[in-house]
Amino acid sequence: MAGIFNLQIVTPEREVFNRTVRQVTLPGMQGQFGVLRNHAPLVAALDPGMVEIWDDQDTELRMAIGGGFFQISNNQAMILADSAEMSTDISLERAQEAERRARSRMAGQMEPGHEMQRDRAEAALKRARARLRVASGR
Amino acid sequence: MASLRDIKRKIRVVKNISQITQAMKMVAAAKLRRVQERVERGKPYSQTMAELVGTLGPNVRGFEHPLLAERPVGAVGIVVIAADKGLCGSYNTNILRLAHQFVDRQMRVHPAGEAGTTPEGLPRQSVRLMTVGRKANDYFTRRGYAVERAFPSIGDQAPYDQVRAISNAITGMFLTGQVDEVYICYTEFVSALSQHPQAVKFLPIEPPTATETPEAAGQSTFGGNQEFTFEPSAPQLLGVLLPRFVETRVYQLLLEAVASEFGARMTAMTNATKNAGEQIDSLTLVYNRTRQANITKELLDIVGGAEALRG
Repeated sequence: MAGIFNLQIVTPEREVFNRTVRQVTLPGMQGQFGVLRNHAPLVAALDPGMVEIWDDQDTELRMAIGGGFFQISNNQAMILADSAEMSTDISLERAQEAERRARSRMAGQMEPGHEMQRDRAEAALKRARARLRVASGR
Repeated sequence: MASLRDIKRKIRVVKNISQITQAMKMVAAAKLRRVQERVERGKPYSQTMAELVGTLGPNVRGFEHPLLAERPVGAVGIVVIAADKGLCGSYNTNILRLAHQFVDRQMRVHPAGEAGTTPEGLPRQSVRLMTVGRKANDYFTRRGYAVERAFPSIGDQAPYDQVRAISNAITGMFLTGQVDEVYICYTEFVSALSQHPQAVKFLPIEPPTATETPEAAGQSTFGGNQEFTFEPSAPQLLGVLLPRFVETRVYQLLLEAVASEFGARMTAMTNATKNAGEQIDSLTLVYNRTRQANITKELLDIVGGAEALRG
């Protein structure tokens, strides 16, 4: 069948996903982008955010990833994610709770001289927001 | 000679011990299998990561990154990975002896007075110690070494956020300029029966361009000989890739150390069970001999008494 390619999603701990898909949308570091069959060879860095997948049955799957990399060539696509969770595996309440925590920690690091902690808090907040977005289906 | 009751009690004790060691052996075997599965499951990630570094390397010339920075070495950081628990044969002894020698050697090579100062102008320690596993911390603390940070062993569960915390602490002391080199003492997993303690240089990372020729990079399963588009540019990509590369290296070393621990424990417990079995055998022999001796003695008494009556 035309229009499909293989997508594999792996984290340091395990393989999360390995199927043929029709389309995938990714949170690139330089903006969101979509990938279809026969995409030119590409390596891209990903921000924490939402990965949207349309599989070969045209079912939409949403996944929250915690940043990572994307690589595609010869219709073999691979996402190297720091973490990856299916929307169905994320509890909305816990995601909200985590987002609140990340926000308050961020607020506590605003004074100068805490750049490293602030960067870390900001990354945590980004991850939390991504999970929340994926969980709430928006 | 011990009484029959004493010997019987002793046999029972040894039997109980052998049951416990047998159980511990099974547990260690199961956990070893689980850790090996983890290593397998992590492979797609770490392999692709290494491939990516290989693909990017040739595209980047004169690349500089804080994690690659070679500095004149005045101070070193040493990370020692051991177990939380004992009863694993010579696993802890071997790695800690090696680490101890290594630490002392580094202290001789880098005397405290020549360590220079931190970017904030504070005097630096020439050797900074970090430990993973309670036994490592106990060992060095008891001998009067200052342990900078002590983490518990990651165990067979090996939660990745714990790995990340350890990795951050290691790279942190290098990036903030507290040390100029980092070494890791861990036990290489050769097989379930054989483990090899060693100290490896961990930071700065060897520049990936030095090991990868363009030809070798072209042969990766993904690459073929195609031209990749990089987004953002290759140097920027490498910049975000390297910290993760380091993290997966830490993960691998930690997992390997844990696998070695369970391998060593399995062997130790197999031996303990075997020894207990031998002891039961020899105790049973003593028991039977003593019983026979008692019977003979009683018989002699009876016969002697009967003779006396007749006479």
